[in-house]
Amino acid sequence: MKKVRYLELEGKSASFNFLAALFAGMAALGAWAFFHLEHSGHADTGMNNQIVWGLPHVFAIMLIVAASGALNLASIGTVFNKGLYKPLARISAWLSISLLMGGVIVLVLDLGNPFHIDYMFTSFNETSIFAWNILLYPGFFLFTGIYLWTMMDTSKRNYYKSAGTAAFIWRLILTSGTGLIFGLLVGRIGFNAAIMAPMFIVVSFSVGLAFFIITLMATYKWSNRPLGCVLLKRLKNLLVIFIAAAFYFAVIFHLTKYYSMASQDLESWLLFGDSVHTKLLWIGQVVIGTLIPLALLLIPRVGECNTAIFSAAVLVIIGTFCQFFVTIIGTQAFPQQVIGSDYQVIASKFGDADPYHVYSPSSWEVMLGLGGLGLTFLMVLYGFKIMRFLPESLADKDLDPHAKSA
Amino acid sequence: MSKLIKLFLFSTLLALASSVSTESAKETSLGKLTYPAVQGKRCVINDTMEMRKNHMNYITHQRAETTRLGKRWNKKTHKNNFSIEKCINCHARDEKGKPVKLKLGSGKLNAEHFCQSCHNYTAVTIDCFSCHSATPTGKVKIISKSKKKSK
Amino acid sequence: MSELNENQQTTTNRRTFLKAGVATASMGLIPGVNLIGLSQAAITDGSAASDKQRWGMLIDTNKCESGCTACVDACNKEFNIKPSKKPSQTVQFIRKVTVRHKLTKVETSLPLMCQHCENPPCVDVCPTGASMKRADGIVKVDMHRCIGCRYCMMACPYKARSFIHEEVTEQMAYAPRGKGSVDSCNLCVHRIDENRENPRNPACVDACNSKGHKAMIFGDINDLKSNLNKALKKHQSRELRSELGLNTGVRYRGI
Ligand code: HEC
Ligand code: HEC
Ligand code: HEC
Repeated sequence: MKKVRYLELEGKSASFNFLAALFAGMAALGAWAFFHLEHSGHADTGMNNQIVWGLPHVFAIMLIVAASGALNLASIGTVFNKGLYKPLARISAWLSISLLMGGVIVLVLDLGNPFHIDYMFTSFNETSIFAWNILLYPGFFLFTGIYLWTMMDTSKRNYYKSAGTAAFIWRLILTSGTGLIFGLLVGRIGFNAAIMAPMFIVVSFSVGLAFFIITLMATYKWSNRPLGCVLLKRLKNLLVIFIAAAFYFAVIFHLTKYYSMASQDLESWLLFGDSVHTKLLWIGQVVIGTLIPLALLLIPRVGECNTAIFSAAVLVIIGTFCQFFVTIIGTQAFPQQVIGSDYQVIASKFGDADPYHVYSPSSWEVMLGLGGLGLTFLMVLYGFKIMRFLPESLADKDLDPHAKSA
Repeated sequence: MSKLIKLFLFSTLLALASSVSTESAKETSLGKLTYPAVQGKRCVINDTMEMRKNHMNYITHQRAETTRLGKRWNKKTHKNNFSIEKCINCHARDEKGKPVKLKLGSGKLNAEHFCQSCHNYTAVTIDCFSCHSATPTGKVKIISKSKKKSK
Repeated sequence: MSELNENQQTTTNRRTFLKAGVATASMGLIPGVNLIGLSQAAITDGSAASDKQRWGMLIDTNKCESGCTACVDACNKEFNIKPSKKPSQTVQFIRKVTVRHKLTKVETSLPLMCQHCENPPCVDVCPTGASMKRADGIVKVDMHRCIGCRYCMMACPYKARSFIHEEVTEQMAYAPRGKGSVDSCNLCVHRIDENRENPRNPACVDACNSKGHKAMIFGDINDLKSNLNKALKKHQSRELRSELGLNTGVRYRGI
């Protein structure tokens, strides 16, 4: 097996500078939004006492979920001994760290009192899955960081496999935790479901891989490094499986919720209603996020090594965004059953009798979310520039598709 | 650490300043400290220096006791004296007993407000008054001497 | 749910013990207190809330008049809650809802607020323990710890909580509240703590009584002599969203 050589990005090209400026600009927008909201309070957002969690949470949850999924390729290489993926492991690990950073920042900056955050650690509430999540994030940084270190420092080679396994297990726990933030909401019929945990894991596979593919293809194109078709085809096949699996979970989720009388009102409104959530679900999640990408990837003539895969990955990200929008905001938008199943609320000053709660996000929320995305890619970009994360070549001839890990 | 040094320097300065200044004029080199116009001669504990140094510890301890356990100020026994409501009631007044506002019209903090007077100087920012009322509402209560004992 | 530290916990027990001895005794223990206070109603001795008590309410929906919002108005006045610029962001502790029975189609009007659960989901989910249940069953927010994540609002089955979206001015001195925290009904804890032997009613109950509806009974559920305890034993009542098993402190009659 050939030895893979890793090389930093030179980082002097016009495209590099353009991207750096773009991402820094996005991050700056996020910072601006944070300071503005810190001053004015959440009054300037579209969030209210019904739509408690809004667009920032959709961005944050998507990035956090994608983070753990992006680590997947490294895990496949290390834990499951697929040698082909091993040269990708550094990119995969660094991308996942960056994504998590972007997501967590958005989550934290959206808090009403971000400066009280120290209580998170001084008065930890062990029954709160949210508190556990806050521990899982630093843990993920730690484990993935160590893992990355064992990859790069040959003297730590002995710990490489165990570090990779630890990171892999941790990421499964992390994403289960993210799913359970919603799954454990016992009072909310629309959320409370055990399937949330595995569903989030599977979604993390597909959206994480999509983020990975985009990063990989863009980087190699712009830095003029060779990226072979064999590798891309493998990634394409993986993506197909993950998209299908994520779709399967979504179908089961909505089906079971629709079947239960307790949540049928909500589901039929989500699935067949006239709100934006229905459109996002069918057009965004199903058509854009599932059907078109599958077509792009599976129809042989289109599914060649470049544009089709790249576009499919972009569409998967958009689709997943819509999915989280519907899951998080759509579920809140339907009035909650507050009395009991035997009663229907017909009038209330607090929206309990509304057909559904309207959410119109303000530009501040969009900026906060984009800020997280910008920070992520800024980290990715500079990580690639400073550290030896990128193999010099991923051309077919330089990769051994059947290599077993040493 | 730097906090400690700051506190130390500040306390000695204040101690010096107040030993020089006369009883009636509460004007110090640090700006004006407005003491309550009450006949009450002292603070909730009978130790001005201790109050000066450690008031934040007393009130933050009190806030946990009150909020979490429900221990509230008691007129008769003077337990749980460190209610922020009471501090304000005595302290946020001028010499004539009229309330002093914490926020000026422009939104700037008022250095004449007792709590702000030193904090301004020491560059301490507290967020307490984003929730707590900073203007006295009730009548000024005088703490009777017989039962107070400073530790 | 970390409470305070160890030694504070022990004083709690001692205070609880003192409490049992009725205010007279406890006051006698403190030297230098004159006896004027004795003729008045006993006041709290500065002790901690005790788990011997549990505050709650019984709401008789038959007596609750539809269209009457006296309880809501009184609450807003008590906490000086003003409408927000965006109505959907206005803080509400208590609201009036009209409900229709699915089978009989009978329509009923009732006030809905924090139900002060024995097993409150909002307390379970709070990452910092800011959402808390006091020993005497009052569920409230410790704003000093609240990071404003709103997870408790997601968890509450009754939508009883609100987020303070804007800066608050002119707070009541007894009821601090401010931007960036979650806030909710605390059964007027400042009133209860004045005198836990014989507390004043929460503002909403007072308002309902003075309107003459007398639809709400407030009291200590555990106190066998309290009106609330007697009423709960005498009448059939229900807990909202009973399927969740939260064992709420606020109960309803007539629905
Ligand atoms: C986010 C709003 C908020 C902030 C900020 C805040 N408090 Fe409070 N505080 C409250 C609330 C609400 C209560 C009432 C709790 C109750 O009645 O059970 C309270 C009660 C208290 C009490 C006990 C009751 C009283 O009147 O004394 C103390 C002491 C206290 N706070 C101190 C502080 C201090 C010191 C700070 C600043 C470091 C502070 N608080 C900042 C909301 C706040
Ligand atoms: C009964 C009225 C009263 C109450 C209530 C009260 N104080 Fe005081 N406080 C005083 C007086 C009088 C002095 C000045 C004592 C002196 O001149 O030696 C004082 C002094 C102080 C000082 C020292 C000022 C200096 O010169 O350095 C601080 C700090 C202080 N108080 C804080 C507080 C805090 C915090 C609270 C609430 C827990 C509080 N006080 C409650 C009356 C009161
Ligand atoms: C004598 C001057 C003085 C006065 C008057 C005073 N403070 Fe302070 N306060 C200080 C100093 C000095 C510190 C900083 C201590 C430190 O840095 O650790 C401080 C710190 C605090 C803190 C802790 C801040 C933090 O973040 O650690 C609180 C809370 C506080 N003060 C509340 C009050 C309140 C409420 C009043 C009015 C009743 C008041 N103080 C009046 C001097 C004063």
